[in-house]
This record gives sequence, structure tokens and C-alpha cells, in this order.
Amino acid sequence: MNRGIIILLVVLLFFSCKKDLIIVEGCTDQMASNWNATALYDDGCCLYDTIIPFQTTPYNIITPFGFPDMIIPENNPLTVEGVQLGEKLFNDPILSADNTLSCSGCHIKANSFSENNQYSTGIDNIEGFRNASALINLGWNTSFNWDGSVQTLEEQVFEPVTNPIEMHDTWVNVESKLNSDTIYKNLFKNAFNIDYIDSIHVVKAIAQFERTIISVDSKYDKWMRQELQLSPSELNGFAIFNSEKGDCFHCHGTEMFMDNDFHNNGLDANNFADLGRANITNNADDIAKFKTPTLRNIEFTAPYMHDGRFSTLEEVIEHYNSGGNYSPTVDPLMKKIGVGLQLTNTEKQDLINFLKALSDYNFLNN
Amino acid sequence: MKNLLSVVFLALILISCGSDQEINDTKIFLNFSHNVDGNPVSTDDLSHTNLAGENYNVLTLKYLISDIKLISNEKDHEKIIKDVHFVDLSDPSTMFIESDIIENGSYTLQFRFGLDANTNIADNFTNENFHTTMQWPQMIDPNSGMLMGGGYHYMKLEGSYNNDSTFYNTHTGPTMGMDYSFLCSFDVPININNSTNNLEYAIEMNINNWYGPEVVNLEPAIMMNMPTQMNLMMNGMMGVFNLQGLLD
Repeated sequence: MNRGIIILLVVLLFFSCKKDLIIVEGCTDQMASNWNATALYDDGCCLYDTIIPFQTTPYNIITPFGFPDMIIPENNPLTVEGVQLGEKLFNDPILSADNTLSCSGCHIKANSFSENNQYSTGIDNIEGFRNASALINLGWNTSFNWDGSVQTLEEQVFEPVTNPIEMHDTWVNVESKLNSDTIYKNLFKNAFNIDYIDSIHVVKAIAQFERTIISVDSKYDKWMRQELQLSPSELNGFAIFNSEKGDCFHCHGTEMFMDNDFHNNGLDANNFADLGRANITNNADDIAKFKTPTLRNIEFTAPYMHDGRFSTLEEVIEHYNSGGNYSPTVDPLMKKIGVGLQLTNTEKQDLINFLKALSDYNFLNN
Repeated sequence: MKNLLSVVFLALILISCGSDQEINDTKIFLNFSHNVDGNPVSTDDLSHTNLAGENYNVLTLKYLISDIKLISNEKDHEKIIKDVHFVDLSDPSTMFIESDIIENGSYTLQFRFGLDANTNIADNFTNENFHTTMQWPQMIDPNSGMLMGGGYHYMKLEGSYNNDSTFYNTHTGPTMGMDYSFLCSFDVPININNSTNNLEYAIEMNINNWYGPEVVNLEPAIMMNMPTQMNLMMNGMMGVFNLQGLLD
């Protein structure tokens, strides 16, 4: 006890001898913007910056009747800001080298985001070799492009920007153009909280927009919702479609009217100009197989097949009606090669009338 | 204090004696395998011959089994292994089921080939990997007024027969409102006790047995054909599948 008192006295004596000692007052909270490292006494003057956390508005997808849950990557959730930015980019020719061609240049809304030309023409007036796919209900696809070369929309968007026969740009150039645009700088800041626009966020935004291109309000859908009645011809076409008489449903089934799979539907017997899926897998069993397209809005996506060889739905039906051509990878579902469905003219027309009932005019026109 | 220790000691003895009720760490592994009368499945040559004398190969084999469970031989409890399983011959990841831990007992394995009428409803499995490939539209034929198909195929067995460019589609499923799914159970005893390691079994399908003893021809289209669907069900029940123990 005595020892403690002695120490205390020595300390007091020491401080009392330091005549210049000043007890600095100020903000002692290190989290404050005016933190004073020399302050020994907090005088209550601390100031704090107001930090507004980065926020976006979630964009909610309502799963259509009979559809699976949409496939959305965890690292690219849909936001209102991202979708709006993606739509602007989709329609902006800034992504092409000479600023003349946008995504929407070959994927036209009135054609269910496909185009009527057999092949699309790039900025250097070079034609492609496959027909532009319709871009609807893509959020339920498990692979993209006719040969399924990529598994996500984000990967898919990367490709046309630099493809020499499409936009023929470079990502360095695209990034440079976008970063010198103050509007885009703000839009990317709002959507992704980034100060430098890079290719990754460009494809993320466009992929977000593409996932919102949903078409499920056709006459068929209204019939399913019991809002109207299909005509007798359309109903008969529906029965042909969904039975082995027409046998369309095995590849174009479910409410998505596609199966996310690859088939050789007997277009050619040999001398394949395009190996299709085999180009990706290097598997001979995949030669001449192509991804099944959706039949929604099929009335407006002519010409048909991966190479746009058929101009009309009548030609398409006639292909199946005559049985197609045998090749080693032709699908066993093409079970009457050379014989075909043998539908009557009335049945063929009924089938076409049903296919036209899959047109979603609200989507195409608004 | 001594009394308390005695009670605890007795309780421990009692618990240790209840070995039949214990839960151990034994699992069941089910592997799916396929053959044609004991031969490997041919995807090229038409080397298989069915009871009708037709030569064929197998290009596609996809099927659903459901309500896969172990039934206690004392009939006092069941252990569901999986509700629905999709097998695709071209996808090795579908050839295997691993159960949860199975408690001690003596069991019989049972599953349903296909889906029963209460389960086989259109769009009932939209998020399953078989939804698109196995769907079978459920609709009323506007001409006959009868229910066509419905929900999902049980099986899609496809290939060439007679010559390379002639295809058969042995597709089974509910037809005209009739449920042709069926139960398969196996006499192979499955016994699990405290010393049992994980158990592995092969569920073997002899594809050729779909086509006999009730003679079923290879045809391009049988989906609306009720007699053929019935014969396929009969053949299926009479011995398309068997269970083979692999490891104990």
C-alpha cells in the first residue's frame, strides 16, 4: 500500500515539473473524418461522413406457367438498372468497329429478335453462314448458338462484338468508346458501381436485358389460360403436334416449345456444309446436329433451319412430311426416313394454323 | 451418489443393448447397368435380336423410376431412397444413386417403373433435368375426346432395326388415361447391422426382355397403342430388371 502511494507521488511530481504540458482536446474516434491522432481528450466534436451504400433495384422475373425457374448466374442478378443499361447497349451500334451495327441490327423485335435474311451481314459486308436465332425466352436455355458453343448468355455476348464477320470490333476499342461517354459512365456506375467500364460488365448488362425478353402471351397461351378458344383447325393441329402423327412435341415440347437438346433432323444425306454440334464436341456422333429452336413466334422468324434453307412454314412441314434424308447421325425420332408423316393437305394446314397460334402479337408489336 | 451412478450405469447398458434400433453409418449405393441378353448394348451394329426375330441396336435409352425405397421385412417401416430418378444411357452421371444412412434391419428394395397416375401430371417436374426430354403432353384429343398421353414418358428406347435407316421408338407411358407404370421388387435380402459396411448393388436391365415373352414388335410409333403398352408393362413386370449385390 505504501509502495503504491510512493509511486503515485513520484508520477505527480514528474508531471508537475513539466511546465509545457498541454492536454490536447479533439476527436479521438478513428472512424470519424476529423479524427485527431494527438488528441488525448474527446471534446465531442467528431464528424462522420454519410456513406450511402451502393444499391440497385431488383428486377423480378415471374416464371411463366409450365416453365422452369429461370437460370440466372449468381454473379449477375437482374436489376432494373442493369436491364435498362443492357437494352441501351443492345440497341447501340457503339459495339461495332465502325459504329454502324448494333445487336438489334440482326435481331429485330418484329421478327421475334431474329431477322428475315437467310444470313446476317456484318459491318464489312460479309455474310455469315447461319441464320440469326430468335432471342426470346433465352433465360431458360442451357446452351446458346446453333451448335451450343457456349453455356451462358454472358459468354454468348462476348462473341459477336469481335467476330470479323459481325461487329468486327475489339473489346479494347469498345471499352475506350464507352469510357469516354459520360452517359454510359453514369449508367454503369448506377448498375454495377464501377468507375471503369470493362467488357465483363458490358456482357453482364446485355445478358440481363436478354433474360427479360419473354414471350408467353400468344393465342395458345390465352387458350391455356381459358381466355379464348382455339379454332377447330388449330385444335386439330395441336393434336397432330402432340401425337406421333406429327411428332413435333418430342423435340419442340413443353411450354417452351424446345428441348434444349441437339438433333440431326435429316436435312442432308451427306456433304454437310456445317458440322454443327460436332464442331464443338469433336465427336462424330454429333455431326449435323443443331440446337432445337423454340417454335414460339415461329410465324415471324423465317427463314427456317440453322442455314435458313426454308423460306416458309409450308416448306418446313413438307420436309417432315416427306421424311428427310438418312445419315449416320440422323435422330431416331425421324422414324420414317424417306416416307415421312404422310399428312393430308388439310392436316398440314391445321398444323400450320396451330403453329401460327404461337404468335405473341402483344410482344411483337409493343 | 452411489445410487445415482448405478442408475446411469444401468441406463447405459440398456441403450447399448438396443442395437437393432441403432442408426449406423451404412449407406446403399445403386448402380444402373444395361445389357441385351447379357451382351453389351450395341449402338452401331444391328447385333441384337428380339423374340420377334427383328435385329436392332440401341441409340437412345432414357427412363424414369420412382418411389425408390427399402421396405423393412417386418413391414414396420420404410426408407425412401429417392422420389424420382432419371436414367440416361448417354449420361454416366445418371447411373448412380446414393442413399442416406439406413438404420439396422432386413429390407427388400422396391421401385416403380415410371410414375404413377397421381404423380405423372404435366409440368409436375419443371425444374428436373428430365422435364424437357421426357415430357408427354397431357391433352384431350379433340377428335376422340380421349386423354392422350399425360405428364411424362416412362421410357424412351430408340434405335435402328432391320436396316440402319429404319427406326423404332419404344416409348412407354400413360396412354388414353391408363396408368402403365408398375412396381419392381427384388428377392435379394438387404441386411444391415452394426458391422455392415456400405452396400452396393447393380440394378440391371435386360433390354431384350421388353420384347418378350409377350411379343412386342419394333415399330416407329406405339404411343397411342394400348395393347402394346400393356404388353410392355407385362414384360417389364416379368423380368426386365434384376438386382445384383456387388459389395458387402
